[in-house]
Amino acid sequence: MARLRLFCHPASVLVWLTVMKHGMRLGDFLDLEWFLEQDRLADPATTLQRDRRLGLEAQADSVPAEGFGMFWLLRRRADAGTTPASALASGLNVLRIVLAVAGLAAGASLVRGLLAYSGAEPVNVSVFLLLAVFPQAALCLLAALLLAARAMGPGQFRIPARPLFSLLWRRQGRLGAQAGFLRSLFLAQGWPARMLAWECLGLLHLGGLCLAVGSLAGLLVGVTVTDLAFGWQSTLQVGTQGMHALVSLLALPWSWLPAQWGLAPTPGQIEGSRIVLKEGISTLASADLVAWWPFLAMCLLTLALLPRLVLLALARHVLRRLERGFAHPALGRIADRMRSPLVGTPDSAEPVSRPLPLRAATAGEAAAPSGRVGTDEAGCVFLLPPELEGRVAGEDLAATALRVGGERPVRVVAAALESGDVGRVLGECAGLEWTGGRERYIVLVEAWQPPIRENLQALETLGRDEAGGRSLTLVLCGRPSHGRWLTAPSAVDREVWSAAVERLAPLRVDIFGAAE
Amino acid sequence: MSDIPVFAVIGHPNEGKSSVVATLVENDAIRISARPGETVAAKAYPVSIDGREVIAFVDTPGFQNPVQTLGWLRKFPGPESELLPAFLAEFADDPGMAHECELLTPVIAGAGIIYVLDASRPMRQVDKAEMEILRLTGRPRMAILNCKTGEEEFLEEWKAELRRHFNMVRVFNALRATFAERLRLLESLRALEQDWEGALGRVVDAFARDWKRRNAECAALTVDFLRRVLTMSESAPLAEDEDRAAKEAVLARRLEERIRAEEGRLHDQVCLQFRHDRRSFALPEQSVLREDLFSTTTWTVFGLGRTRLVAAAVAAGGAAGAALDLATLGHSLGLFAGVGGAAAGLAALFKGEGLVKGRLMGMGIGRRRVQVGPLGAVQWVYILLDRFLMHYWYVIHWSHAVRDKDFLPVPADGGKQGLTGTWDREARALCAEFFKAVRDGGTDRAMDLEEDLRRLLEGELDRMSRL
Repeated sequence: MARLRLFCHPASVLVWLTVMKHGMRLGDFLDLEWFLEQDRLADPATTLQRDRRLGLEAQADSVPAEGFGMFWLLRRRADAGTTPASALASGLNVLRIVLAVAGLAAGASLVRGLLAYSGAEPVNVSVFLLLAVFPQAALCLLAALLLAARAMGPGQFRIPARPLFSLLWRRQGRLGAQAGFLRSLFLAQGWPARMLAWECLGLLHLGGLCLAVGSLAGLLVGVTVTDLAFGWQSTLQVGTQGMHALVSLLALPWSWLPAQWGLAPTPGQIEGSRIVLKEGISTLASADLVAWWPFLAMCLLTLALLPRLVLLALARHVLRRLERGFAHPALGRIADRMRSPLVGTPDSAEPVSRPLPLRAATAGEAAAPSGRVGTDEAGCVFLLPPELEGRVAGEDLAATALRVGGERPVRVVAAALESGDVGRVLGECAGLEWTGGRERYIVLVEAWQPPIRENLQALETLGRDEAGGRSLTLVLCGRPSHGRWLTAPSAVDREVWSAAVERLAPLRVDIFGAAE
Repeated sequence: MSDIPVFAVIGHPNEGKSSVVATLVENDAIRISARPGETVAAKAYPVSIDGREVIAFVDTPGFQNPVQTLGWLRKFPGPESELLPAFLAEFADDPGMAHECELLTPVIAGAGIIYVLDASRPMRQVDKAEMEILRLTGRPRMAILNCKTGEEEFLEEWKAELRRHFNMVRVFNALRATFAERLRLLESLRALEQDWEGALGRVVDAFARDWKRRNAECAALTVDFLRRVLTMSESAPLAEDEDRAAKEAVLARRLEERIRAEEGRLHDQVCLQFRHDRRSFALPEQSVLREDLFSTTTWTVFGLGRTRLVAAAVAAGGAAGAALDLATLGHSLGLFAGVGGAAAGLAALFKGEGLVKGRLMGMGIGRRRVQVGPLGAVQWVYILLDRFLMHYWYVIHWSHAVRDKDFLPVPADGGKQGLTGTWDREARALCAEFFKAVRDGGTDRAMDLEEDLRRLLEGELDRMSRL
């Protein structure tokens, strides 16, 4: 009770009571399959979000762990229209009503026909037993034997689903979505078919029960509202003793009841109700002729009605046991989704990239004065990343300079490609006498390093020359490989650097690869 | 300052910062490019648990002026606590320093630092300048060595230098990181700052649980897929003057299409489970998984070898026979087991490829019908499982940072490439028995076997996740 108080939502109480009392039913499992089929085609992320939301709601309602599946199902049903369970329940209810009414009507009309008495010839007890009691008893016995055989055998109880459905729904296209789904589910011969088989068996026993009730009611009504006389007859030489033995045998189930209740005819009454046609019935005592009806009623009750009731209860019990014992494999996954924290990251767009503006060089970084006034004769100056100093042979650098500029380097300077270092280089080269009066700088760039703004600013500083006599050449090299430093740049790196250098326009920069 | 752990992922341009973030938060939408400078503004990618943000990673633009920035910071005369705010105040209006301002803003707001660098290249002065800048921030920081090309020649040099500037150094290849590696990285972030330990613990826990759930979903989807496919058939009425072979061919094609569609749906679902965009995910060019399901290559490459196939079929038939034997209280003296086993084994041996189409003739009630399917050879279970497992392998290794299919692992060439062939005897027999039970109809035994197979697959997926 303490646990019940935790529920604040009426639906939660319902969930708890349903789960604890009955567990999930066939209809619940069918709806579960229906919703799982819908989820199968859905986006897992959406499914996950929904189930986690339901899980949090269940936790908020203090639904116990074993009730998560049912909670999930109830919430899904609340958002859905007609489900297979409701379609099946409607169908089964119609069948129940039809079978019940048909059973009652058949039983009543059968007995009514057997009890036809016009005063000339009494109702033949033997015929009544043979047509109204024994067939029902025999069917009950047969059903019990089949159940016993199934219980002992390895096979599983099934119904001929395909012919049945072919009979009920001849064309699949005419079925509603729910009915079509049920059809395919039952035809798969899995657990739904097995549970449906017990449901169908229950229906058959309900029909049998109603037949027995109709028979009994017909007998009782007939006895009550009409004047009936019962007797027995036989061509064979069956004496009263023989008939009494048979009656005693049939009356065994209620033989423990007091004899004064008159639930079985006495030997005297049996003798007194024997009909010999040539003698007529006028000599028979009325008391003996009416002594049979309690016996017949008790026969119907104990040999037809009660066995049917037991069989019906048994079918329901087995179905319940089957339902309770069935753990749908998806329930664990659903509960897991409901309990697992939802890990998420939002998808969102990023701003479009655009290059940073290149700021004009500051006064400190300004281009050094042209070096035409110097004393040394200079071909070109080769700028080298500090990390490569001493690693690249001088001849290799000279060969590269000759290849890209046609001149040997007069000076090789280690300098990072940033404004400070470049300013220093320009200062150092200020006194050089350039061949032809034209300053020529060749810069070796490790192109695998992306051109950052600092690099481009440095190039701008290095290339800027108001007199217009300075040339700037970039030699792009790729990643070092097996001790070789002057490797060819990748196409992407070359493209990236070319695009970056283009932004330095109107400054003209020639670009070469370290190894073409 | 944010009340959840925030990590700014910082580094030189094009070192793989966005890749690291994309992999950590499993986000295919983050722009990743081989060209530098794609990220121009800092952007936070929060990770939420049940809608509540618990951790965030900030993808930042790369350094554009590291030497200049370091120079300014070194010259700053004020107290250390004012260093970064003063820098921002100084350069807030300088568009040329926009990236530095962007990347340092989350750091000022209290974010921890994850410094990403490509350790497959040599170290340069700008790298040292960047490290020094980050050291001057005084924030908890970790360096991630992201070897983009797999070259490890410079790794030790990097490690030695990084240890001088960072609290922790880890190797993490964003393009090839497995789930286990991602978890280990998150675990190590816990040690970076004591205040974040609890929150990061919850994140790691949620990630691990989420991954386990995904594997469970995939296993269940696969078992469900197998059950569907193994019971699929196509049938149609056959008129008196109709050519049966032609009709069978039409039905076979239709059945093949349905099975292909089911498999495609399964593979899509697996992709979605791991938050991959189905449009961007692609199999490697050379993958055998690109072969049609009903091709001879598929039949040759996947599934069990002949000996193992026979053994598995015998074990499955034997198991079914043994169950029957038990039911008769042992009066059969094992005959059912022997007969069942031999029959199943022989069928697997001799039918083989002949059952690729799995054809059966059947008669409907009242008129002639022709039926194709269901799949008749036990080998199909192993083939379908192998294809699923290979697809799963590709999916979990398709990093959210990978946009280049060449990074995907390629199974060894030659012989059977499937994983089911490496399973132990019990696992292989379970598959065969499952096949038999599903084909025989939905019995309780079939449900038990489904459950067993689901568990087996869960274990296998978990094992693959940790490889």
